[in-house]
Amino acid sequence: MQVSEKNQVERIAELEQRLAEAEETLEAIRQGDVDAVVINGPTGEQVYALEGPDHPYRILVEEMHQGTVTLDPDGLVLYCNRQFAAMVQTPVESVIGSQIHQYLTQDDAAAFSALIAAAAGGHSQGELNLLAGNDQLVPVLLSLNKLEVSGIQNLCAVITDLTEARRNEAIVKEEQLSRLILEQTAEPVIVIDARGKILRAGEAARRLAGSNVLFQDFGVAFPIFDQDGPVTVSRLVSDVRSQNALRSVEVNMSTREGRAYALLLSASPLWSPGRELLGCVLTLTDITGRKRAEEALARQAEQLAQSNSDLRQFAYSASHDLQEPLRHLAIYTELLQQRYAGKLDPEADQFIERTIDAAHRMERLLRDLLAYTHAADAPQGDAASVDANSVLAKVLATFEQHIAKENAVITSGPLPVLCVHEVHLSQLFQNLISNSFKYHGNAPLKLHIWADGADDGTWRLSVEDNGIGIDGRYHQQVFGLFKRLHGSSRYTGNGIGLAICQKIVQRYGGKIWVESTSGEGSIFRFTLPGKESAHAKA
Amino acid sequence: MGQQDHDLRLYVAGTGAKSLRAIQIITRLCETELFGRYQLEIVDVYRHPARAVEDQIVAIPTLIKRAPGAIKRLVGDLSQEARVRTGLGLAA
Repeated sequence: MQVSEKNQVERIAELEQRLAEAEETLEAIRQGDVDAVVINGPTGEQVYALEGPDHPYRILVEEMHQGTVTLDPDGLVLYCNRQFAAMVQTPVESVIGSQIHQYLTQDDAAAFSALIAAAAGGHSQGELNLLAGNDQLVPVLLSLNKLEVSGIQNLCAVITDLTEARRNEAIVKEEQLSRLILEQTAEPVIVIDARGKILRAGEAARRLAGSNVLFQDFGVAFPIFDQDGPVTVSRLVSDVRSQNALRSVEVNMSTREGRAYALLLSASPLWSPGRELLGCVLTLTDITGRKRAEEALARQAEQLAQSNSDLRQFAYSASHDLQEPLRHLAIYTELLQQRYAGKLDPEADQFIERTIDAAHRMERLLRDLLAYTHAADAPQGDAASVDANSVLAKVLATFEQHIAKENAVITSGPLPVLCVHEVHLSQLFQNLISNSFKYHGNAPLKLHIWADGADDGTWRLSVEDNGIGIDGRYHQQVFGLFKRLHGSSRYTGNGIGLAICQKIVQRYGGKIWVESTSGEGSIFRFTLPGKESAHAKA
Repeated sequence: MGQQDHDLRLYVAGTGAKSLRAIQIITRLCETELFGRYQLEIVDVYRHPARAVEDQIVAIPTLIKRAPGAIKRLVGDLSQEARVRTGLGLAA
């Protein structure tokens, strides 16, 4: 009897326990303190969720960085998260229940339709722009998934904002662009910091230095110096600081390998917003070739000047020193003629006559040569503005007697003011007019002098006569000097005058020529600088 | 495992809110109060529905204490720490 009682007591305790637990379970379910219940269903144990265990997912979806929307097949927004609402600058409540096309431009709407069509295979992805509430365009990556819930086809889209990525892309592109420019430029370009460390150097700069100079000290990589000595980084930086830029300063560089360069240095400062010097951008233009050419040219010019000077000296002393013996020759032959004319045989008289002629000719030649040597020599001072009209008048005055004797008619148009020495212009007129008188032919001389101007300030003067003219074959030769010296030609009468004219005109950067046909007169033309001419020389 | 060690089994439902909370509380309690003297098995009935039969589980989450002592089950609001302590046989 006691055993069964004990059993019964135990049994009751056990039952009480189980009852308590059962009641607890029921109470828990009633109170909603459970997520789910497990029920023996037709296919085994089934878990039925009460409070959706997708709640954390929903929290995840709400809090995640990307935007997400659930759309029906027509584009109606059934759900969106806070991020999407923020992306399109519209309150969440307004987005839900609106059409997704509100947030797309026309072009993007087409792209979106294409994405939907592509999502028929389950998933599609593409970049387009969202139209935000403030009319800004937001570049996004759209990832679409088909979502079937209880037989209804919806679309789930995850939207990633690409603005940041795009900005970084832009920065990277700019970075690439500037690097490309640096690399490609033919000029050596170097970027240094305020202490002279090389931060960037283009291809050309590396070639100039002969090594990869990145992170080296500028003074070490490019040992440059000017007339004040080595251009140290501190001097460079302080100059740039004070002058705000250096433009084409001439410097020299001597590399370790012993190569020498002449360079033009330009430097621009890089300022921080707080006006602190961050560094400099330097350009070194290699002008070694140019400098060498300049030096060679200068040397040549010097040699030429020296050579000219020597020639003139020679010509001068030759003609000068020749004059004396020539004088003697002339005198004594004249004396011979005086004393022994007719006393020797007839041939002798002829010989003496010819000798005297030759002597006189030689005297004239020497005089002309001297004159030519000195022609176009600069008198004191610079070329002044000279009124050609008054110069012509003065020259014509000297021909007064000739004019009267020959019944010559001389006319002139208005002449300009020229930037030449008066004595040179005088000589020009003198020689040309003199020639006209020499070769005026049978008819009385008619001479006309006029001028016309070119746009660059030079003037063309013309001296036209009605004389015997000059055949085309000889238009060049008439201005020749040395042709004459080699013996007589048809134009011995021209004298050295035209050669002197040419020398004078050339001195002023002008030209002289003749337009003429045999028997039909001649026009001598020459160009000279006017007052404002660029060709004016001192 | 010693005779006096706690043998615990916690039935949860995926990422259900109560389930997650229960995991959190119970694990923390075990670590602080029963360090080295317990074994906790967490069973996700979504993944292993058949196992719910073993302990005749109806509602989730449920904590079963199989040892020491008599088998005890705790259902419902497992976020109440005091309740859990009692259920585990720990001092309140």
